[in-house]
Amino acid sequence: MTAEVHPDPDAASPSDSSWSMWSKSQRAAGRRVAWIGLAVAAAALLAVAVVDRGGAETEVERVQRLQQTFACPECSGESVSDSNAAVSATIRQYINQRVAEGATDQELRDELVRAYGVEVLLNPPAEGFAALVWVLPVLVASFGSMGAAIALTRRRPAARAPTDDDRSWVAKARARVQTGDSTRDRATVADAGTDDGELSS
Amino acid sequence: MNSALGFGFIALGLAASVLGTAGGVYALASGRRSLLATVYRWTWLVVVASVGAFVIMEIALFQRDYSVSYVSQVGSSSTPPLFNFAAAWSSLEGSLLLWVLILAGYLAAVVVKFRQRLTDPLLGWAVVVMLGVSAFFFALLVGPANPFVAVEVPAGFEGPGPNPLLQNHLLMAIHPPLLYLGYVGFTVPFAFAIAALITGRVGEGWLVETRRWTVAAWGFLTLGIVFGAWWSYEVLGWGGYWAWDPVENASLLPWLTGTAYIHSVMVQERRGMLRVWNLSLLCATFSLTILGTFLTRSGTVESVHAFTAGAVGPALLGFFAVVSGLSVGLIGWRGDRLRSPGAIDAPVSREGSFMANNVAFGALAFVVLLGTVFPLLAEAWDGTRLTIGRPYFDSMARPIAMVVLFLMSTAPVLPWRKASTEVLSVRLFWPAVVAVMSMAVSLVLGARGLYPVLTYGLGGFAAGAAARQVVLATRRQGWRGFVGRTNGGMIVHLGVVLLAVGLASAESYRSERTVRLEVGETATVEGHEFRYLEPGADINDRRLRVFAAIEIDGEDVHHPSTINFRQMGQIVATPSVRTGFTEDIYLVLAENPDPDNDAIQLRVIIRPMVAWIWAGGLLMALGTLLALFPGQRRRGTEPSSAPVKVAPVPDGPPPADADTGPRSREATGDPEAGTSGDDAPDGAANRVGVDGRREDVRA
Repeated sequence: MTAEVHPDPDAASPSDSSWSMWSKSQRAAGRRVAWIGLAVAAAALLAVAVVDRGGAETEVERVQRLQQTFACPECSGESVSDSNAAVSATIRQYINQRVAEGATDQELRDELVRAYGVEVLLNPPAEGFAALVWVLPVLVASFGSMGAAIALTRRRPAARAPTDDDRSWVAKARARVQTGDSTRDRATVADAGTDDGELSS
Repeated sequence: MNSALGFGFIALGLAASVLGTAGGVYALASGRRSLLATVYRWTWLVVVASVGAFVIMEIALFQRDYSVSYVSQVGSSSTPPLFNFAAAWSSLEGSLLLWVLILAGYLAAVVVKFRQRLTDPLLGWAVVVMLGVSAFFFALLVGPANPFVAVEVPAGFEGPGPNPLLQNHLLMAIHPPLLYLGYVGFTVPFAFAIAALITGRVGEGWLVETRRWTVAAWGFLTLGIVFGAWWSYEVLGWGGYWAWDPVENASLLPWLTGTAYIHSVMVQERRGMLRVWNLSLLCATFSLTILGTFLTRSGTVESVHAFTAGAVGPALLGFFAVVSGLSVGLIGWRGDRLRSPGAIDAPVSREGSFMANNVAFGALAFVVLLGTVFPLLAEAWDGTRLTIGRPYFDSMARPIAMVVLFLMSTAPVLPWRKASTEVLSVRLFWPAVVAVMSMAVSLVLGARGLYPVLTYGLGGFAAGAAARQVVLATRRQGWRGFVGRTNGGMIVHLGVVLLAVGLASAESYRSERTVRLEVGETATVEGHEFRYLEPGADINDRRLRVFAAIEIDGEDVHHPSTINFRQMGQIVATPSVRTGFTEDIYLVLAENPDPDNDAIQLRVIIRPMVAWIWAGGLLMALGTLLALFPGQRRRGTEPSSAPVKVAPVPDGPPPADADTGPRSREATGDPEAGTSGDDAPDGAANRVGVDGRREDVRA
């Protein structure tokens, strides 16, 4: 981008003039205060969003939430809430009824698993072999972040003084560029001799 | 006749691909590059064969030539022309035919684009790899998935037509070709990556050559996925657009690794680092397109729209193993040349955030892959049948999505190499104001809950950062501030924000009710009135459609319906959607209307801001298009660009940038002026730039 290349007077001047009554350090201090204000505001807004949920879950909401966590046993992957299959309608009905009777989520879950097997759960249980599906992503994400962090903080090897070898390498590369032989990478320079005959043929 | 001709073409395609691959390998391995010319002739034969086979298939479909096996499966005299045309890719064999057609198109484009350099071994190997891939797909067509088997049909035979779900919306004609343009498009950068590994030219040259190809393939894939979701929403009648279904996941996987690659590749272009990682990402992207095709086309993972076929599955799995093994082996073999010359200076820098981006996208790709194949693993392990569905994917994807949105806000303003707090506090100030404002506005409008409100905040943050770049660039360069990789990329980011905000709203604030209505009755759901005016039906020679006329709020009338396709005997509930800027009202008949009973079961789903998802997807595609145009190039003669003392290169503008001049200034000082990055000048100059930088370091 030309941003750095052409420092644009128009872009810089308005902010300069509007801030001109303050020194550079005052400007920075003002910005710090504004940032603190923004951070506090963001935290407060998020807190409101989390805390003020408008009362407890109603029965209708609970039924809808539960319906979305059970799979239609006949149609792969669809929830009973989305599916039009008859068996889904039955399960929906059952959930309705049991919620009205005051069953807990866990009771409902156990009953449906007993009736249709563990595959009725859209969320796999966190036990046995299936626990891996929950643990592995966390492990992978942690190792990935650690790997990236190590790569990022790895010390750069101390710069060494150029050797004669380096100088001759650079001189060769320059000579190559000057003769216009630019289509070839460094790596193929070594076997250039054998290639040339074929190129011209 | 058609079946013989069609088979002739696919056999020709197989022969030409195999001979081209073998001839190319011989020519390149023996160093007799003059032989390469014949490889390009085989390439053209492959193009002729795949176009010929496709055209024959279309002719057979339009002639309703049921002696061709594929036509007898998906053809029908009652299918309207558009869907009859699209029937060519509505089932396994035909979709492979589309695959080779698109692959041949890319092959032809590569050969034409690089026609000046056909004796270059890098290009030779790339074409050979593409021919090898096409040999595999032609072999599938000739063998286990032959669409042109000659069959005897009784007189008066009538085909069933394509799956009814695939023939009632225009998007079905567009979505598969777009998706395949994306899938197959990744073959081009993959082929160049393999070629770079074989020739040992693992520098940045091949990367720059294929940059636009990769971005274009990514754009097609994006649009293909979004159109698929849109089709699902408009047609399938379940009220959603993304079910984390194996087929959807299969298309998302290469998209995720491709997105990671598009970002990390900039680190390599700019700093020469992450070579192994980038090659691995690209190879993974291509392998995942094959694995995805295997998962969905072999019937291994049950899915709403997987086609099943016997020997194709093992073949695809074998090909996947070959591709992965070859990639890993070559990368290991070239390990010594892949060591990167530099190191990252500071974690808080552009390259640092690209690495964080890669961790996030890598983790998401892993979650999607794991969740898709885990039921298979569990069944193989101890016979447990598990379901892994939306709640699992949602709970895994949400936190990662938040990280990605956060990175989208900070990365574009971060300078390369190193950022100071000063720079960040200046450049991020207005984006942060936008973030807090959007959270406040959403709360006032009634939004609650951690994820949605966080999405609005981070979305505002990211949009602010992206808009800042575009505004600064257009102020400086006029309309050119909209084109080029950086600016186009920021428009893609704006699209992503729209999509994220749309998704967060539509997922979090959806409400739904099923109401029983008799003619003339009115029901009220979420403040909207739904009045059942009358039932209706229309019938033609291919289907019977029963609908209910529903008036919403006394304004407009919608017709949710059920369609009974004669040939299939399958009933499809087709929704009717009132799309709006702020909310969608989705009406679908919950059960088939009973002719003896006036009442209907109407399922009403109200989801806010669904249209933002489609708008976001379209904006992403537009941004991709803009990113493909060359951006502002820097010239060595421009005043403050530090000239590198290297003689001009014959086939390109003089090298432009050494790392000493402007960039280090961006890193350390003048926080107000810096925009996010640059469009590197074109290939030749960039390559010398890399070498030039080497010289600066060493000399």
